Amino acid sequence: DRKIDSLSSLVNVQVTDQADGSRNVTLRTGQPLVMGSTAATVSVTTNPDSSQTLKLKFATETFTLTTGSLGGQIGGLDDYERNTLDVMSTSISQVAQGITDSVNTALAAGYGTDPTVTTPGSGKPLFQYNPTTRQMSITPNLVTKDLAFSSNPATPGDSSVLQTIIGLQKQPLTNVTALGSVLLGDAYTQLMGRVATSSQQNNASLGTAETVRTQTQADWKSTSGVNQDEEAVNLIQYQQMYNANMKVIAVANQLFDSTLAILT
Amino acid sequence: MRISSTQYQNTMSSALQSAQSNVEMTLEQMASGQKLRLPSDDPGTAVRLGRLSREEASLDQYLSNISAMRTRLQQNETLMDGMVNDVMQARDLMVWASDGANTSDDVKAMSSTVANLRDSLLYSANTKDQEGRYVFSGTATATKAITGVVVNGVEGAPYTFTGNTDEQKVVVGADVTQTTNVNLHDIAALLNQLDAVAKALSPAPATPGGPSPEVSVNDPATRATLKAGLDGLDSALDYLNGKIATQGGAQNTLDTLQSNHENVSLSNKQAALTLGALDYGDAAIKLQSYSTALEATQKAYAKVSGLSLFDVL
Repeated sequence: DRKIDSLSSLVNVQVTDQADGSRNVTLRTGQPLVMGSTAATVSVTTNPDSSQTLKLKFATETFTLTTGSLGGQIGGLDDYERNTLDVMSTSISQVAQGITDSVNTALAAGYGTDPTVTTPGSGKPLFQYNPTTRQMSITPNLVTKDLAFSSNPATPGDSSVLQTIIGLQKQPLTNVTALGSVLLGDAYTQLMGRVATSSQQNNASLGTAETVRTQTQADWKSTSGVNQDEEAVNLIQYQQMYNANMKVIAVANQLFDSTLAILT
Repeated sequence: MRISSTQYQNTMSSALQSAQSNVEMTLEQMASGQKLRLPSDDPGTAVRLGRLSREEASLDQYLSNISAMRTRLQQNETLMDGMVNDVMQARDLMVWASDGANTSDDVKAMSSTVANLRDSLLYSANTKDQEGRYVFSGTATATKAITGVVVNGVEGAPYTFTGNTDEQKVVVGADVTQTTNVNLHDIAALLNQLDAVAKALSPAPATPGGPSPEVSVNDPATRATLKAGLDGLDSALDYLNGKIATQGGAQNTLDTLQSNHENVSLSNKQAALTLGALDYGDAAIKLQSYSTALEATQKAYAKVSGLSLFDVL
């Protein structure tokens, strides 16, 4: 019972009782976990796009477990990975990409203090976004004279491109799919708010689920548990009945003996 | 409802767990001094605190920009003060030279002083800062402010202003920019006039190596040159003083902006405290009540679990 209970905390299981008193445990979706005395093994493989797949191997058959119907801790983790973690990490990388693109576009139209660079559109980019590692970094080997803050090669002291970049924080970022159109300066705060709200909802659901489980346990114990005082009372009662019966037998025995004594 | 004996254990363990998690949460809050341990404790407040701290970061940056800009304005003012001194000296010299009682030799001596002052003004106008950028050229910081014409390897008149009159702007507030540079457009004309005076007071010899001609201040052409020089110096003085006054005005604006930013920052910090700081009195009371509940539960359990009919039998 305890083992089935701990197994059910991991996934949603269905238990069927067999005629010989043993139990078969299957997943909600039908794949067998324990049949008679054979048990299945569950494994995880990582896919090329860095998502994960669960596989169940029973005897000689392998099943791929579909997500969304698992329940329990494994189902919860899977739901978290798909609906929260992936969405958040995609959003953050979209914000990074948005910042990189906006800044680099503004810089491309500018000129640095390097007097040898005079062709338009040749301002060096400041940030680089790597889509495979999903990380933002500063262009290596960038030196001060490559910072293209001026809008005119003849006036290196001009700072109009720099002002444009400073003004970017009031521009909306449109490539963050989870948030719609947000101001660049506000994107991080809103993402944090989303995580906080989901987490709070999760905590509230957890509290509710725990209360329901405690209540269910109490009801179960109320029906089938043992109350020691009740058993003690019954014990005394049975003892008395036993004593009384013993007394009756003893008296009947005496009567019989007396009757026999009369006859002999 | 029928209570089984193991129900007591369950109640006891769940009560212990919830009391301990409450105590732990209160302890964490007291240790950090913040009401929120995680953003999920109160998402609305967490977002508001995030926005406040972002605004704080902007204000810090503006304040640092303001203090950097002050240094630059100070430098501009000091350099221009030096130039004003040179101009006043030149003016005194001109007034003295205009005295008809001067001899030709006196006047020729003054001429070299005038030439020195002219060069000193030229060097001041072409000052470079520590990074090698010209200070008074407007936004064309790679070119000299005032350039002369090179003759036989010597740079001389006529001087022209080779910078530009564009402004370098610094962001010192939300959508607020201030100009930080000065250009000396009219000084080129002054230098040309000083050069003319110097040449008039000490004319080149008719034949190289020969004696230099006599100069008389009462000669109308010389007088006219001297007068033009004097007028040029007066207008240059006004020009420079005007520019210095602009720098002073900019410093005043920066003062106002700085105190505004500091006030807003203070009010933001107070708001952050109101939203996020822990009320220690309240937390201490909560801690006490959780501990009391825990103790009472434990004592009650000890008593109740000792109640058994089997002890009486």
